[in-house]
Order: sequence, then C-alpha cells, then structure tokens
Amino acid sequence: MTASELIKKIFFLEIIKGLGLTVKHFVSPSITRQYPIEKREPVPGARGLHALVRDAETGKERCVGCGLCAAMCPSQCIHIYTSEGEEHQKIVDRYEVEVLRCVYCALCVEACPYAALVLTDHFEYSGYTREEFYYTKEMLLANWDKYMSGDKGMNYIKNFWRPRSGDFAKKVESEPAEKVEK
Amino acid sequence: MVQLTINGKKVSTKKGNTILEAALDNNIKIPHLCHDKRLMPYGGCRLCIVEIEGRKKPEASCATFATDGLSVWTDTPKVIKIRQTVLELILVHHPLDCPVCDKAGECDIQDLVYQYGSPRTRFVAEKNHALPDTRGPLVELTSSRCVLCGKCVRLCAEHQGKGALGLIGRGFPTVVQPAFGEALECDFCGQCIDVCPTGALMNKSLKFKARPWFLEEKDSICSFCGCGCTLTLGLTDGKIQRSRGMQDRGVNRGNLCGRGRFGFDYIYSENRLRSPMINKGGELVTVTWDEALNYISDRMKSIINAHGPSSIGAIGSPRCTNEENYCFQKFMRNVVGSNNIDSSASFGYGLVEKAWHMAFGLSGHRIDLKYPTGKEVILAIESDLTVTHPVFGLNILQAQREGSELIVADSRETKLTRHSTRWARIKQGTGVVFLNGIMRIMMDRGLIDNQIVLHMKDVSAFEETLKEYTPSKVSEITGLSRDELVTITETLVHAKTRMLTLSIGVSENSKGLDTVLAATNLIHLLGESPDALQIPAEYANTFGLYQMGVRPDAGPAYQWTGVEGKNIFEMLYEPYSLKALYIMGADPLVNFPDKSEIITTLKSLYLLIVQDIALTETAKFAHVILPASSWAEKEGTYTNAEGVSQMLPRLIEPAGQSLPDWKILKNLARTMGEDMAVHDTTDIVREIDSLRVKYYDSFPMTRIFNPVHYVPGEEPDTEYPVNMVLRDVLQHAGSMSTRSKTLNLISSEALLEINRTDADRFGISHNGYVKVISRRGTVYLKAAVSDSVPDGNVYVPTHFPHSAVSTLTHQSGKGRITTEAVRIETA
Amino acid sequence: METVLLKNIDNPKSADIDEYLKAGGYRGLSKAVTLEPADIIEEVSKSGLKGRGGAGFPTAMKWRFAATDPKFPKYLICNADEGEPGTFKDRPILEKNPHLLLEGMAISAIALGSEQGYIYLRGEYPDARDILEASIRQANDRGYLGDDILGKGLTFNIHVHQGAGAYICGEETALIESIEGKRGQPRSKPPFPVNQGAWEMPTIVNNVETLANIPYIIEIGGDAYSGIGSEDCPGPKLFCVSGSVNRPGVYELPMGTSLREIIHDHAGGIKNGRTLKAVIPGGLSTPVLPAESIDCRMDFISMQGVGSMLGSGAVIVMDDSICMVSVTYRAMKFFEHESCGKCVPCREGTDWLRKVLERVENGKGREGDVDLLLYISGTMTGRTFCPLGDGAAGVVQAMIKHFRTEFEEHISEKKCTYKSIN
Repeated sequence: MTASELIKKIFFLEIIKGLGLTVKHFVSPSITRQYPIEKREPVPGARGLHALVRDAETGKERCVGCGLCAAMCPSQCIHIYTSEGEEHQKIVDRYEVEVLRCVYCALCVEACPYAALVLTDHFEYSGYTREEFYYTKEMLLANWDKYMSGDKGMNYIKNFWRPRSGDFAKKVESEPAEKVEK
Repeated sequence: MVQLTINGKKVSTKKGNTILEAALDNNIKIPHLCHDKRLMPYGGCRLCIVEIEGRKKPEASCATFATDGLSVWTDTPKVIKIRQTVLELILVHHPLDCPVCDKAGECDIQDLVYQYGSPRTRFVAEKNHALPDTRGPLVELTSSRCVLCGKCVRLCAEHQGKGALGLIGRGFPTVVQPAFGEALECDFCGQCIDVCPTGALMNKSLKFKARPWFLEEKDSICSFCGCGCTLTLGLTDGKIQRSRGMQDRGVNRGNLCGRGRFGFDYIYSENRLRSPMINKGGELVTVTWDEALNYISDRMKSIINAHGPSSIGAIGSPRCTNEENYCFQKFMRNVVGSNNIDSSASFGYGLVEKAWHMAFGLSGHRIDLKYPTGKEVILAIESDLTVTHPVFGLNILQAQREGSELIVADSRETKLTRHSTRWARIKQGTGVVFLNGIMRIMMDRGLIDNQIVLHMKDVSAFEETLKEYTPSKVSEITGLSRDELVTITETLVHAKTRMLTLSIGVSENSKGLDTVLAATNLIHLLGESPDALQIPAEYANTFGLYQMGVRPDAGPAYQWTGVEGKNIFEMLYEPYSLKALYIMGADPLVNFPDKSEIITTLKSLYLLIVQDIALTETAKFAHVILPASSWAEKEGTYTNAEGVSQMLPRLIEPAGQSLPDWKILKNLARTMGEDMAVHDTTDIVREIDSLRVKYYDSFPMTRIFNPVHYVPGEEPDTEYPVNMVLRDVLQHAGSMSTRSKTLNLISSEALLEINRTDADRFGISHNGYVKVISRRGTVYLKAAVSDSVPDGNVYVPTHFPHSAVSTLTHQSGKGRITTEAVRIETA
Repeated sequence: METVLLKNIDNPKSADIDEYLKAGGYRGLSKAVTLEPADIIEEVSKSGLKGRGGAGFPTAMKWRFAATDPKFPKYLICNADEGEPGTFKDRPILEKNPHLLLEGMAISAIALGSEQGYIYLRGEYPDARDILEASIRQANDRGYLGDDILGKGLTFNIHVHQGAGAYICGEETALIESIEGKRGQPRSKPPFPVNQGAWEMPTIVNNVETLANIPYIIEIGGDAYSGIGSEDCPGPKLFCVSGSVNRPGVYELPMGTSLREIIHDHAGGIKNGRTLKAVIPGGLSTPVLPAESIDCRMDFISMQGVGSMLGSGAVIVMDDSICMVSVTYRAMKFFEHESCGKCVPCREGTDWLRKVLERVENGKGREGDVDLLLYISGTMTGRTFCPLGDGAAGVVQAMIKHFRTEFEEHISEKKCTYKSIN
C-alpha cells in the first residue's frame, strides 16, 4: 500500500468526494418533475387514450365500422358490432376498446381509411375496476369532445394520420369528378 | 389427353379443356373473373390473357382450347401489363366502398388489384353510387359494384336451370337484374352469391354482421335432405353467421341449395328447448335434468312391470346422428327390452329397402349422386328431384344438358319437366300403370332382355299380371297417348345406359311401395343392374338411421333380432296398443298423415317422452320434454343417401341445458340402473364398427318379379271432387326448416296450388284463403293459382306446423298411394 | 359499265318478280339446279369472290368448310343488318332488287345443302321487311323457293328475322345468338359458325351484296367474273358516298376504282367548292385517310396498304370545314352506345374514350389528353372480344395520327376552333 493510498483511507477522501456530489445536487436546479403535482405538457402526437372522431357535419362518429382497426390490432382489444340501418346504411352499434389491453402502437389509427380513430394525448386514467376501462362508443366519442376539441383534433389527423388513403378520403382534391350515369 | 407446355412446364389435360382449365388443374394460377368450371367459356373479363408462342395476339386462355404442343406463357411482362390495364379499366367506375362492402376481404377484385399493383387510375370519374336493390328477401343486388362478368346470370341459367337473372341493357350501362327490373323471385339457391367476384350480389342475412376476416370457417354437413352436402360455415363469437359452398368440396362439389345456404338458422329459433320440462296438471313446468330423468325412470319401470316391455314404443329421427340412433335402439332393445322402434323412414326409404329386398334380395340401397352423368336415358317417375334432393337434381339437369334423354313422367309441371326432353304428363298416382304399360309393350314386342329374364322364375306368371295393362287401358288411366307410351318404351329399351329415379317419403303421397316394385320389375325386364334404380333416402341421416337398426324388424347392420316389434303404423295409428312412447327428434303430428288419429293415440298413452331441439306440435302432448342439442352443437356422423358417413364437428355451444341425444339416453339408462357402456362418441363408433364386421356382409343377388296392380288413392266423388297430392317445396325439408327465419321469408305457409280452371270453378282467387275439407278434417290454406298443376288436382306441402295439412290426410299402413279426395270452398 | 347489282333499279316496279324475270332474273338459279353443289362452289371459287361485309374472306372457302361438314341441318343466313354508319349499299338491293338476293340465297343453299335460310334484317328497315316477305311469297308461288324448287325436289325456305337495332348483331356470332333468341353478344371463336353456328349446326353467314353477286357468277361463269375490276378481289362493288360531296349516293363500280375517281368523277366533287380534308373509306369503324391518300385503289389489299380498310365501301367525305375532334367524338359516342358490354376493354374503354373526347371537344381538355387517348385505345387494340373494340380504338388512333395538331389545338385553345367556321 502506498502512502497516498493510506492517506486516502485515513481521511475518507472518497466519501467526502461522494458527499460533495450530493451537496452539489442540493443546490443545482432539479431535473425530475413532481408528478402528479407538477404536470408535463405532452408532445404533439403522443399516444394516449383512444377517441372516436366526431364528424363536424353530422355530429356522429365518422367510423363506418369497416373493422380494419380491429383486424390490425396486435392485442385484439377492439370489438366492433355493426348492423343495417333503416336506409340500408351500415350502422356501428357498438365500438368498444379494452383499453387495459392496448399497447398504444397506433396501428389502428394507421389502418383507418377514414381517419375516424385517434389516440389522444390524455394519458392519465385510473380506476378501481377493469370494467371502467372497457370504453364504449359513447365514451370514445366523449373523449374526442374532451381531449381533441377545437383545431386540435384536425391538426392531429393532418399531422399524424399516415398513410393517407386518398382514394378513401371523402373528397378527391386533384381533379373534379365527372358524372356517371348508370 | 393433350400435352402442352405452360411456363416451360409440361402438363397434360383432358381433351376439350381450355388452356385456363389445363393450367388450373396443374396448379398454375391464371387470374380470371368470368370463368367458372361449371359454365361454358365466356371470355368477357380479359384477365386470363396469356401469350402463346407463334401467335401474334395474346389470347384469352378461358376461351382458347388446349391443343397438343402449345407453348403458353402466363406471366410475361406484356401479359402483366395487359392485366394491369384491364384492372385499371374495371376500377374506373368501381365504387371502392370496400370499408362498407361485406365482400371486402374475400373479394376477387381486391385480391387481383393487390396482386397486380396500384389501383390508382388516370381517369377520375365520379364513382358509381347506385343504391342497392334491397327488395328481395335473401339476396341483395348492388349493381354499382358489378363488373359484369355475367357469372351469376350464366350460372343461374346454365347450371341451375332457372334463368332468374339477366344482363339488362347494353354496353356500359348494362346491369344484372331480374327481368323487367322486378325484385328477385327465384329458387333462392344463392349460388349467384358464391360466384360473384365482387360485392354485387350479397347474402342479405349476413349484411353488416361480420367482416370476412373475422369469420372462422369450418366445414359441416347439411342437416336437411339426403344429399349430405358439405357446408362451409362461418362463425364469429360462437355463432354461425353464414353457410356457403366451396368449389369442389364435399359430395356437392360446392353446390348448395337454399336450405343448406340459408336454413341453418333454425338452431337459433326462439322455439328452442333449453331445459327439461314435465307436464304437471296440464302445464309444462321447467324442471332439472335429475327430476325429469327420475320421473321417466319411475314411470317407465312401473309400465314395464305392469304391462311388459312390449307396451313401450319409440320413434327415432333422421335428423339425429348415427351414434345417437344407435344408442336409441340400444336403449330400447337392451334397457327397455322392446323391439318397438321405428321412424319416418317407414313411409319412404323403408319401402325402398323392402322393395330392394323383395326384388333383388339386397339390403342397403344407396344412390350415387354422380350416377346421372353420361346416362343415355334418365326416367324420373312422379318426382321432382330438384326439389327433394336439389344437388342430385342438379346432376340430373347437367346430364340432360350434356345430352342425356330426360323423360319425366309427372302430373304437374316442375323444374325437372321444364328441363326434360320428354314430359309424359300422366295423371297423379298412376306411376304404376305407366310402368306396367311400358312393361306390357316390352313383353308384347319381345323387347325384353332375354339373357336375364329367361333365367328368372315366374316370368309367365308375371306376364299374366301385365295382361290387363293394354296400351289403350294404360292410356285411359294415365292420360298419356298410346304413341307416346310406345316412344318412351322404345327410347328406354334402345338406350345403352339408363337410370330410373324417383323420390319417396312421408311428405309425398302419390307414390308407394307399388311404384318402387314396378320400377324394380322394369329393371329386370331391361336387364339393367340394380344400380340403375336411384332412389335417394329422404333426409340427412335416413340411410344411417336404417343401418343403425332404428326399425322394428332388424337391429344394427341388418342383423335379425328374433322378434319383430311394432312398426310405426301399429304404434301411432292403433290407440291403446302402447302404454308409453319415446319420440326422439320427430314430429308425427306435422309430418305424418292423419293427425287426429295420432292425437287419439298420444292421448291414450300413460307416458309420452319427446326429446327434441324445439317445442314441436307433438311435444305439446308430452308428459316429459327433454331438450336435445342441435346438429351444430354436437359431434357425430350423418350417412347420406350415397351411404357415405360424414363427420359433424361440434361448432357451437349447446343451447341452454340441452344435451346431445346419446348423452341423454346414457344418463337415462343410468337413472334406470342400467349401463349403456358408452362414455363418448368414439365408444359408440367402435361398437358400431364391431357389429359391422360381424353382420354387415354382402347378400347374394337374386332377381324376383313382384307383380303389382294399380291401387289408386282415395277416389274423388261428388262430395269430395278434387284430388289432393302432397308435394315438398324447395325451401323446406321436413318441418324443422320452418323454424328458420330466413327460409320463412321465402316460404312461410302451405300454399294450395290449384289450376286456374278449378279456381274459377270453386270461386277461388290467387292468394285468397280457402277451406279444404277431406273425410278426416278441415284446414284453411292460402291458394296459389298456378298453371303448372293439372285440373282436378291440388298440390299441398306438409312442412308447416300451423298449416296442419296432416289433419286432412290418411295412411294406408301398407305403403300405398294415399292421395286424398277433398272439397274446396272459399273461406 | 353494265350494272349487275343495281340492275333495273330505275324501274319503279323492280321489286316485282315479273319485272325481275323480264330483266333476265332467275336464270342463274335455273342453271344452278342442273349443277352439282360442288360445281357451284368451284364456280364461285374461280370467280375469286370475297365477302362484301367488310372482312373480305373468300366466299368459296367459307362455303367449302360448311359444305364438307357432315352435320345436318345447315343454315344459310343473310346478314342484312346494315348498321355501319355511312353504309346504305344493301338497302337498294333489299328494297329494289329483292329477288336478286333471294336467287343468290337459293343458289348458295343448293351449293351448301341447306334447307333453311334466314335474312337477318336491320331493325330500322321496316319497308324492306314487307318487300322481302312479299317477294318470298312470290318466289314460293313460282317455285323458285319452297319445298320443290323448279321441280327438282330441292327444298329451301327463307324466313325474315328483324333485329332490334343493335349494331353488334352485324357481327356474325352475335347475329346467330340473336336469331336463336338470345342476347346479342358475340360468341367465342373457335368453334366457328361454319361448323357450329345457329343451334350448333353448320351455318353460313353472308352479306347481302355477296349473295347478290352469286346469280351473276353462275350466269356468266366464274372465269368471266374474275375479269371484272381488281385482280385479287374481282367483281362489281357498291360504294356509298356520303358527306361533303355534290352527289352522294350508291354507286356500282368495279372493285379497285380509285377513291379520287369515286369522289370527284362519280360523286361530283366536294360541295360548295371546298377542298377535301379527309375520307373515311369503308364505314365509320375503318381508319380515316387524309386527302393525300385518295389516289389509292378501293380494294381489300390496296386499302390495307395505306393503313385503312375497304370495310363495307362506305365512303364518308369530309371537307376542310369539318372538325376532326368532333367527328371522333361523335364516332365514339356511337361505339360506346353500341358496345355490347361483354368484355371489359371495349365496355370501359369506349366509355372512357368518349368522356375524354367530350371534354376535349368542349374545350375542357387537359394537358396530356392526347396521349391518354392513345393509351386507352392502345389497351383496347387486340384485347377485345370482337372487332368492335378494335374498330373503335383504330378510329381514334388514325384520327390522332393524321390530325394530332387539331386535337392539341383544342386543348391549348380551350375551344373548338371549327365551330366559328360553321
């Protein structure tokens, strides 16, 4: 053992060094947040709770019940039940997400041909029973009103709905359509 | 065989095949939309275009015949380019409403576009958004999705022989529609739905219910007629959503009729029994299985003690599996100790078996669904097999198209007569006279097969019995001209290959044992092998039921039981002959003749046990009702009319507390202190197999004439001036199908078909209600004025419980013709 | 030149059998009944007669296929469904000289061994129907048709079947379907109608003009006939000239007469002193020819040489005031309307072409539309089920080939420059 090593051992130099770091951090500005007292603003496009897009014109869900989201879903947490409406249109009777099974991959958003489904940036939800996390169509639509109000929702779709399925989008912008008589 | 090269690979194919067929047979895929192997080449879609070495232009492979030495390339860049442009052209106006189209996921256009690249088109037209035609009950027509491949139109006309759909209009605005744009009124076989490459023709009962990629598809066997078709059932969430035929699968080769395609939903009827019930003081009370079984056990034991086992009878079911029917007869014979067991087959297939044994000394008459193919002459006697056995009927129609002479002797116009090459319009119930007349002409002209006939005994005695059937007398009774009879005889005799066919069953009354025997006699005279007589067993498991020994005279695999038990006539039509009756899966009050007589018998019983899937008419008279599982809820086998045993898988959960019939029987036996020694269906199968090895042996074939004389049914008189004939309708088989909601959309009540002349005579209007009175009862039915039935006769089906047609009918007890004389009044 | 097909045409009663006999009618038939069927075919073969319907298939060869087929009965069908726009050559024969056709059919029937003939008449010719039926009755009464032709024990009956106005039924297999009572759609070939035609029996379908040539061939002999007109397809030919000429009408001229001669000498030159711009030489479905090409001879081979077809010999003349885009658009409207809808390229292609042409004509054309037209017509050529689609595509291709600048002008100017002239 050399002299310097001996001195180090006797005077607890290493420990003092360590304490120095601690003391340094006492006075430096903090990095962690005091969640839930202090909340962080989510980045745009963060994947949180699901919402069904409410169509501004009709006031109803934009979803037509094609089931592509459910087909795509890796955790199989989407359940859709459709039926025939009075005017022979397709009606989405039930659109249900088992939120606790979701892995937030957002493949459902990608698969949707009509941009009818989004993941909101709301991520804090808790409850006492599993049933509370079985989101029905009405709850999902309410999520849209609640978390995607104003331009927020449309901005999300504009920026994060990829790939855009142009042929399925309501308006084909490139050229005016011509009438078909059949 | 023709040898050709496709993509450098040497392949061989049948002469007369097209290049496309040659490729498909050899697992070389060529995309196509308008080709179906059941149809004639069309060449409309231009997707199957291929390059042939040495030819300037690419050719449509579906319309180019394969010839020796051809060298074909199916995937050259040029060909692929052509296919892409054709798809682009198709997509110009295709609505692309895939998200709401139920075909998406199994759509040929989708698959092809996916395979051949981008669906983007240089020409953006407003998509075609014509509204779907939702008027029809089962088939929805969305012409905007149609690509005009014409497969539906051609299948309907060429294959089904119906021609309900047509291509209306010309060029671009062409649409597929029934004539004059009316709502689709057809046989509702739904074959057009299966062939449609897009979502233009869709099954309405599946509409928006399930996306194809969520459907789990499993094969099972149809529970209606004796054809034993393979249904491909699509399930989601443990519920059967649809049934379809897959090309080349099963004995039906993918063909289905409306019953198989739409009728499976009877298992979801509200009428299903979900728990055992006991009749307590005139009211049916839900009880536990224990209580019900103990109740039966106690009552049965006391009846056996007091009246002996022979006072207990049983009726089995052609809707139950082989295993269940085996257990049923085992229960009766071993546990109860009675041979009194019979079934509805005694009105139909049982008679065929009897005749078969009498004429040839054989047992186990079976048909071959493919038998009609290539036969020179097909003779159908008073039967419309396209109704009773639609898939067998299709094969007959196909044979006719391929050049067979189809002679139909029938009193009314049917699909078979419309496609016949000769329709001998005989009077109803005179099939025996018609056949005897033919045989008499053969005898007189020495047209018989001497090699066979001369070796038979009693030829002269048989000839003697034909003496009275002179052509003029036959002509008088059947209403057929003498010349026509002679022509038919000559056609029949001079043909090299022949088939005689008819259907026989409890729901038809213008044929009987006599008719079958007369047909066997004709087979003898023609020197034909017994196979030429093709009489299909009527229901899904009638053949199996008979083999399993649900019959009073023989046990499983035709073994003789020593004592002949009571048959169905003695059990049901002789009140007080029995003290207890156990009915499994049968509804005698609806299906069997003479309802009031049966009611008397049922009321005379000390114990009536009805074990069924639904609350039948008969069950309403029962002391105990036991809920059974339906065909989709249990494992087992059905034996079709060909004698082929086919597996039924368990697809869905049993309804309520219902149990498979064999399990109920096993439990009941145990309650009665006996052990059936079966734990699962494999046990039963093993037991059946061991019996088959012991007893199922080929019998030596003999040939015996069984002279028959014409015994007409009830003759009309002044009081009851009209003949009533029972005939099936296409949409139903037995009475179980009437619980199907979809089938009821097409046919929900018994229609009395009556000729216009008679309708005028009795003042009856089309769709008006009429009162039908026979010597036994009165019912009210809706009239359908129809030119297809002869005057002096009315035609009625028996299927519908609420129509209660069986109130009018009688039974002969000997398998005779039992047409009724009735009076018709306006109601 | 002595007229053969339009003989006696100025006689107001020319349709009557007596007038026809006076002019030497039924001499060919009287000669034919003495000949062996094979000799008649040989005579026609020597004459070098080619079908006048448009395809130019040697008539004798077609007959030989059917005559050697052992199946019976055989059918002879006269294709009088003259639907090609610009064509009206059969009409004078049907209405003014029906016995010439009947005689031709009777001779052909003897050659083929057919006992039943049909005249598939265009739905828009109701007068012709009455005239034909009256003529058939007359011929039956005189023993030129019926169960015992000229006392020789030969049978031949003719039935007139009127179409319902579909252009496609001029195609022989569609015509056969229509006669059978089915939807007028072409059948796939092979099997060819000569072996498996109407009701799956050997069937010969010949144009009215072809059959009208037969009596003359039999009368003067095949060798003499082959001396008329062009060497490789001899005989008299009816040319129907319409459009911007002074004297439009049907002209009987020898095969191989040049277009210039037809337009300028016979039809009296261009109307109103204008200059010639283009000619459609053989009915609407044949490719257009520019004014420079009119020195070519009108026969099957020479026309192919200049990139067009003789077709039915319907010469449509256009002067320099006519907009070619408008002509193409009008033509495509016709083809779209008449496409039967069986095969995808024709059904969707004609519709698409019409729509693009419509917008070009109306000044709404877009950049690249000319190439789009060429692309669409390219996807149709050779891929359609029957020649209708090929014809429609060919019209567009030829128009663009010769008058591309006109199309481009329409697109760049955003209007039809010719509308102001008219």
